[in-house]
Amino acid sequence: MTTKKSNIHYALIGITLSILSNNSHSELKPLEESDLREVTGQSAIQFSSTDISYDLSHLVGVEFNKNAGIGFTREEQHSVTEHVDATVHRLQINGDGEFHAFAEGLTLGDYGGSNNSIYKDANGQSIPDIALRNFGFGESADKPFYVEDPYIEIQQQNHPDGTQTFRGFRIGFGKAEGHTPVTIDSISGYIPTLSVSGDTGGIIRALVYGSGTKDSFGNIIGETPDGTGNYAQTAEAGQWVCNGLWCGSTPDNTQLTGNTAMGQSLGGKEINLEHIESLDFHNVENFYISLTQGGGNSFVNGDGTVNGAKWSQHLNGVIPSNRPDLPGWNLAAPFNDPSNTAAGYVEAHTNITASLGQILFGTGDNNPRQQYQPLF
Amino acid sequence: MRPIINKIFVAVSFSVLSFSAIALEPLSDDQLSHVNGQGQFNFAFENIKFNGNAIDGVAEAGSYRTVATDGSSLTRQNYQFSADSIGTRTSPLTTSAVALDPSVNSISDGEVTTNGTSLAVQGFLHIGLPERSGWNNVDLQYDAVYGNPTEVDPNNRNIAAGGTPSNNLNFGRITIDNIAITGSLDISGIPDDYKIESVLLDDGSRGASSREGFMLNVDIDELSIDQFLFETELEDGIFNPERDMVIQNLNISNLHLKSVTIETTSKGYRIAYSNPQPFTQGEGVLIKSGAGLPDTSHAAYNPNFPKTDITLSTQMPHGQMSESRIEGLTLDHLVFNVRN
Repeated sequence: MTTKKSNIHYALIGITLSILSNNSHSELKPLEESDLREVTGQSAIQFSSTDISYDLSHLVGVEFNKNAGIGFTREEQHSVTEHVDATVHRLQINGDGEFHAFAEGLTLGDYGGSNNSIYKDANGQSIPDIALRNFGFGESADKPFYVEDPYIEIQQQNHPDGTQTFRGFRIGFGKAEGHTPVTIDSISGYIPTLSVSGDTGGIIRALVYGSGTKDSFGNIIGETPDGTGNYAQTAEAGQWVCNGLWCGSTPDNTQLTGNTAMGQSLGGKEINLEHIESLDFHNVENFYISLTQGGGNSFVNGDGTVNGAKWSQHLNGVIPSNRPDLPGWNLAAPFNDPSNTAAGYVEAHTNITASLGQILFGTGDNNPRQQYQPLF
Repeated sequence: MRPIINKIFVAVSFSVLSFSAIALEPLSDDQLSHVNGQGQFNFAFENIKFNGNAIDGVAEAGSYRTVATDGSSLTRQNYQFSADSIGTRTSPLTTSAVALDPSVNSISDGEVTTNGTSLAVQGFLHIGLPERSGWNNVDLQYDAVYGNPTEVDPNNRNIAAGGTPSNNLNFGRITIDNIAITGSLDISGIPDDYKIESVLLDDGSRGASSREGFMLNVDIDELSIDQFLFETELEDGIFNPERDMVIQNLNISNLHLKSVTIETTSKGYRIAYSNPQPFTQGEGVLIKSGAGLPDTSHAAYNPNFPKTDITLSTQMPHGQMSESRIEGLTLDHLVFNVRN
């Protein structure tokens, strides 16, 4: 090092020292012995690489076959199944925090209208994967949103020939709790919600998912809607079908409550997300935003397999295996325990009448924005 | 704690200045003894190259490794950093001393008071970042290798869900092209008795006096990265749409955070920022609604409060490039306790 450079160093050191010493009003105090003992030089970050395996396919339809006797047999139709072996690389920051943030607009996955969503904006362009307005975390600085253990995960697929490709990444929190105001123009992913019905005294359980859609599904608590009601069914509901001498009308796959013995489903009823004003997180373990393989027009590959990715939590059955993350951007907030909604859930606040009217009375079926038709 | 902070600055000074390529006049001992933070110093760095090449058979050579408490780790190998310039003679990196009022808004029961947390004017170290033209080909690249914990934790979220510790620890190569940050930073000490209290966190901040640490003003006009490339398999710095994932044209603009405090605690670090803005409160008993929207009718509502915009484009294997964006972002409160 030259003398000149040494002098420069001393100058900057001097500046730093003098400014800090002149302007730090707060006296910096040495740690007490008791405090010092707790300092162990630990890192606040944890890393892991974990292998997971799963079978990936998407639901593409529902078929009803007349039984020789009473009722129908209901069979879900899936795309070609791909077995995926993957490694999930995880980086987690250990800590807890609170924050309040508000965005006038949040858009994830805007393909400039070239994607295959059947939903169009006023200009006839396909809408993005996720388009939210007036989206916030928390109500205000004194009613913030609570999070624990933020993390990033990147999933690499390990192909049988030894090659690797990236399957997806996600950013999430180990735990989330708080109020999120939102106006939903488009959403994809999976958010199970509870809606408290003030005027009926009941509770509605709903699922919010789709791909670049406003689709969601509602059902009375006790029956988990699986969303199959939003897929094409054969034969059509109400069609007279015979199996030999045994005949009957094909059930409607969009029942509020199911009687599988009768060939009915738990498909659920569509609700209009335009009525949602906020999603409130209650002790939700694991809330994340993911970007998975595919996106845009790329739902399905040449061999019939589909894009998207499952994550380790799917293996626990928290998110139904028939609806893994769809390709592109997704939001996901699973119930902590699907059989115990009190253990952690998201509550959808709506401008109540129209939304619950659709759920309870099955209106709104002809709204083209509520008919999910992924292109396979 | 003060010596630790000073050492950090010293370390930063040395590491940065070792790349210095512009001749500056040396200060005499007499001059040095009178340096008290007045005036402005300009810096420009040209032709920076740092190549941390791994050497076969030499453990840790050319690598930068972070090891966690549980033994897990992230190693960055073949660490490469290069820049044609960071700052130029016409648009340098500057340091100077300035006097600023760190006062911020306060809030109580939803009522926001402008500059309600009144703090005295105090001196800050002002770091002015070069303009966009002063950042030329600032690139970073490394190969990431993960290391699992030495003991399997059954509570690990992945393992608990059915995963198993992997032997596939090589993540691949990360390449970041054309980094540019414009704006400025101001650094000072935390004023006496200034403590940003947590609302939900039980971190001992309520009623406590200020602790060790420093105060930071962030005034980022623009942060841009042309490309953030994640490669696996063939690592050639070129995006392969069948294999790689990429973030392009990342742009964060108008990020302004006033009086952020960064404190050390016996259990880790505490990052806190609070400059509350007025937002609506919910109405209703069973179903509250209308909460969390900007309260434009509130006396303290400031339509000119800086809002951040973020845009980026992403593409995954088998997918199409798409743009994502956050528009009009207000971040007015943040407390995060990093736990060791």
